[in-house]
Amino acid sequence: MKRFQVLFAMLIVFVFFVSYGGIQASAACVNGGLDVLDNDNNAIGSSDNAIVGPWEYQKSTNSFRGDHRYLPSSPTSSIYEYNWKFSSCSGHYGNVYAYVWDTKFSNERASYRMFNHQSFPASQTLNVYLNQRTAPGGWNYVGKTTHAKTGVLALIVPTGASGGTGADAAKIVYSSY
Amino acid sequence: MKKIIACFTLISCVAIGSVWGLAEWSDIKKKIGKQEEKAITVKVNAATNEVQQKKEIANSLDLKNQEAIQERMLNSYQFFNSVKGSFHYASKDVGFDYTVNYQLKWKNKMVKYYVKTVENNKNAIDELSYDAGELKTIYPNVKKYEKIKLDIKNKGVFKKIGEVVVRNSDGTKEYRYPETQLYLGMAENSLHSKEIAVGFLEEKNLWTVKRTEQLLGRQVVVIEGTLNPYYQEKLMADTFTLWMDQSTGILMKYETIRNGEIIDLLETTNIKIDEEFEVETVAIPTTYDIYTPGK
Repeated sequence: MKRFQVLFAMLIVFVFFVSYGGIQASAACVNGGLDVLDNDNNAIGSSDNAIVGPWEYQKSTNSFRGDHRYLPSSPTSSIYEYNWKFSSCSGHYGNVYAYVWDTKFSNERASYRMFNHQSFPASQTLNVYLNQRTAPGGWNYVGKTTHAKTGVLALIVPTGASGGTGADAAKIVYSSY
Repeated sequence: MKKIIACFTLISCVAIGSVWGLAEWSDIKKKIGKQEEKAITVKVNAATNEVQQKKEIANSLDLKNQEAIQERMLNSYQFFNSVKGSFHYASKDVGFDYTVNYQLKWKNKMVKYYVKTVENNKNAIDELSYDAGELKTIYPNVKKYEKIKLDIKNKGVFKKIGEVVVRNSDGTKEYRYPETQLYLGMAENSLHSKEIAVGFLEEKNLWTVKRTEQLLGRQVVVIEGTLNPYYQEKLMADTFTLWMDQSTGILMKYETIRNGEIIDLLETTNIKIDEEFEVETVAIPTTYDIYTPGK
């Protein structure tokens, strides 16, 4: 009996080591792979997104999968955020796109950040800016990560921005260089 | 006997694990080799692009070639090494009113820049600077700051307009602006006006070059056009006029108009291109806290 117990324990240890490499990384985390996360990804209030501030849930035929989040005005004494919680990926750069189509999206200083939480403290790998007001309708390239690490994408709205801010889908295209 | 069996099992697992590990290591080495090959290819491409960029700089702008005009604005960073100035940016539609001061200098393959945005001629709402491999941003209204390590080695790659707009298989459009690590915040609205270069000027039958003229001592190309229905609804305006610096592609001024009234206005108030000046850096007050979004 003990023989089987030992064998079973060894099997568990072996399976754990074999599968460990794929536990945290996204399945798309390969050169040329891509990940897309919508606002309220697959469900309103999805755990794939996180919100700081009074973002309104709105439906629109022009939006990606028919809906988006909208922040009518900027904060007066804090910073609001809309987050897309992409799985952490190391070893590949991320080319990041934001879907901007609804004509209410008019934040003239929309700022996007990315953090990889595989290290502590989390490393910031993106610090870019998009003028949603003058951006054309569709996927807008916002920038490439500074290091070969990707993770949570945050759209931040500090005090002062006047045009309404839109949060729709976001996309990462992975690249090995 | 049982102990011998247990030991044998343990050794077998270690052996299997080692064989698996060696196989993985071999795969990793192959991948690294492939990545190195790609890196070399990228370097060769970058060198080729640099030659092309220099040719572009040497060429004067053909005002009858609409794509060349778009590409000048889209790749503006490639056409100057240093710039210092300020502009006023306001919208009657959504009610913002900013003054943006900027300084950017490339020298000996090193870059430094500084941008300060002031709202309603009163408070600075953000300040950012890049120096010695670090991009710093402060938000005085909330007493927060951000820092990011960033190794800027070049201005990025010159991109043809035909490579920028892509129609995906699902019918969505994708706008692939040129890759660059020069993140100048609000100053991009004038210094790298990529959204306008691609968006306002996408439909070539809707705009024309009207004339060239002098603005703040610079020769500018004056473009007049009609906004497409998407922008008309979004910006509450019907037409636009752009004043683009002919040599660099910097957007010196733009207006959107409805019924003769200016709705959005960006207007450069002073500018120095490729002259000597010192670049400021952001000083982070000790009372400010670090801001980490995306937790």
